[in-house]
Amino acid sequence: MVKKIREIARKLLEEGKVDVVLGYEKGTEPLSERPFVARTVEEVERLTYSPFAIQNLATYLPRFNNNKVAILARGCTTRAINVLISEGQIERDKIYVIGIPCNGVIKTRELRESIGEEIEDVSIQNGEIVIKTTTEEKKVKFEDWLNISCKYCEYPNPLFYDVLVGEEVKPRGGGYPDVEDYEKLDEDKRWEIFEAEMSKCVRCYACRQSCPMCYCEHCFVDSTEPRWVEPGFDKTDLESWHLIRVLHMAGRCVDCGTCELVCPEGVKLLFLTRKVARDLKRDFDYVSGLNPEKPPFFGEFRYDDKGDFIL
Amino acid sequence: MKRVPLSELERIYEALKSYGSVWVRKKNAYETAETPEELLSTVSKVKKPAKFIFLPEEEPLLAFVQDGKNVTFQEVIREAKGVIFGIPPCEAKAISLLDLNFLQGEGEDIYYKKRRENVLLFGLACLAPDSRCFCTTFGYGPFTESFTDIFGVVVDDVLLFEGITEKGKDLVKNLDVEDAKGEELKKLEAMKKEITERVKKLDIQGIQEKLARMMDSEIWDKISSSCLGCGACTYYCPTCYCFDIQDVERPNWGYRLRTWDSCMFTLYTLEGSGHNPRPELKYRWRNRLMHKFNYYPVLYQEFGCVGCGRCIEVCPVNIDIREILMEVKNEPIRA
Repeated sequence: MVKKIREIARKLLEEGKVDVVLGYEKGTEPLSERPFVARTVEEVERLTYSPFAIQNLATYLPRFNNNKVAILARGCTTRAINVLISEGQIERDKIYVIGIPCNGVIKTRELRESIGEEIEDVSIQNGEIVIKTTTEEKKVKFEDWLNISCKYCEYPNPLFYDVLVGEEVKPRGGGYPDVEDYEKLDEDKRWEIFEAEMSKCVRCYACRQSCPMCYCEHCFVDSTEPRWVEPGFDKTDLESWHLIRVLHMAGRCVDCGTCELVCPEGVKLLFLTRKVARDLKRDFDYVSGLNPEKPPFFGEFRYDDKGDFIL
Repeated sequence: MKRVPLSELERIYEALKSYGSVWVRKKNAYETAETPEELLSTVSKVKKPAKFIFLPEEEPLLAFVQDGKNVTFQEVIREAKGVIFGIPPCEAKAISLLDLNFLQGEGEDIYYKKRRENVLLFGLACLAPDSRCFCTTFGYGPFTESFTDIFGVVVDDVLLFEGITEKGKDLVKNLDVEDAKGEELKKLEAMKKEITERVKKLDIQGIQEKLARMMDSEIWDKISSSCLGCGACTYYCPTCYCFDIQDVERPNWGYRLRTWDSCMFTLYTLEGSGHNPRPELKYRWRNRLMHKFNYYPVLYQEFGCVGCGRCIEVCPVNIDIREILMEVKNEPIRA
């Protein structure tokens, strides 16, 4: 797969079809496969791909608006591209999509921190992640460390592409059992979990910055006129920040999970974003990012909309 | 050097306790210890550095209350008093770098000072530098005692320690402990050599001068190309200290709040007019690197980085400061 990706990237750059290739390269941290912008044929050799490549690359597209860009894209990446097109942020004909069928990405930070020892080498063999530390070899199940969105992913294959690398995979599907489990808890317990998660936040905004949908030049949380959220760590403000962000994601979030995967404090965010996604699907039969021609969920008005959720 | 067996740490714990809070290393942050056993932390690198004690994420500077036409103000100073036990040399050095900025001249900061002058640093040699550590790059190492008040090393099941500053020496003087044994000191020397050599040293000679000539370099585009522009690197950095001051307004009352800020944020240099002298990520990156490896050395003859590797670990996209320093070093300078 990596060989094919490099081949395609090299050809695109050589023939001048694109200016840059947005992909991944091996990082310096164990279990890290980080975003990489290849601009020359030599740099193509650094491109790799594995389930440790957690960042949704669509996040970078708006900054390359003046370039022709090739992008490595999984199902969720193409959904993000669709939302960005439908919201007028990027143009499809400037993007060359190298499609990658995806088996899910790993909660790399959580796994790395759970090991608690120096990791020397990591490989994936027969559904297991084999981690060699300074003292032993640990094996963990691939499925156990899957990002929750990937575990129940309905769209693992790119929705569109200019070239596809590898064979399409079978969607896992499975709905939103995690959201349903959360909803089954009583109100106090739900609130307790919510507050405990939000209290870990240090306001570094890695969630916002990594999100392909958070492209606002001026985020509401930074606004001082009017002031929506106060600075500091008062829980009202911390919680408001996350709740408002999640609501801004309604009908836009493509459930890639990047926000949660990159959080340095391990704050759980997907139980909120996935709840919104589940409600939209259940109540409005709406799934974000499937059609770039359709207006965004909150940008559409229909005369036959019953609006019965209000009444 | 003095000695106390690890099984008898309560002998020094009480003395430390009499000084105030005793902070110890926990996985996520430094926390106050309730029992002497907690001094025996096995955490080698605390995720949130000890700077959180001197420069908390948020701190009110003053409060104001409105009553009709009258507004009353109340100064707020959060003090701290105690000992940070087990702070490693890199973090102690980082605090010495913060001191340069907050304790002298026009920049003297009473809020920082009130905490800093009442907190002793009981350093411990770092016995487990990890793959991200590059402290020896900056002219010190895992056994450097000079940035602490008291410095110790755990050798087998004994803690060896000595007072470094006057304050530290005073505290040690009053303890009921015996002198270190000859063979323990010998072992310490061997450990020091072996562990210090384990740290991967970078050759950054000439980087300060090189950077001075790179304001217009194309390297900033390359360096910033995968950066997301979050503040994780700066928040967890033990030497980053930038802050913002805003008023938090509630009905009829409020408070002036100092919070962390990050040079990686768009808002950091956004001016009231709407102009931003650092409009793109590459300029913000340039500032961050320049601040640590050019401006700080120019001002204080010290690099603004201690080589702890936290930024490498917390970065969502694994941007590695070591690679960047090497890129800067290898970048040809245009005539």
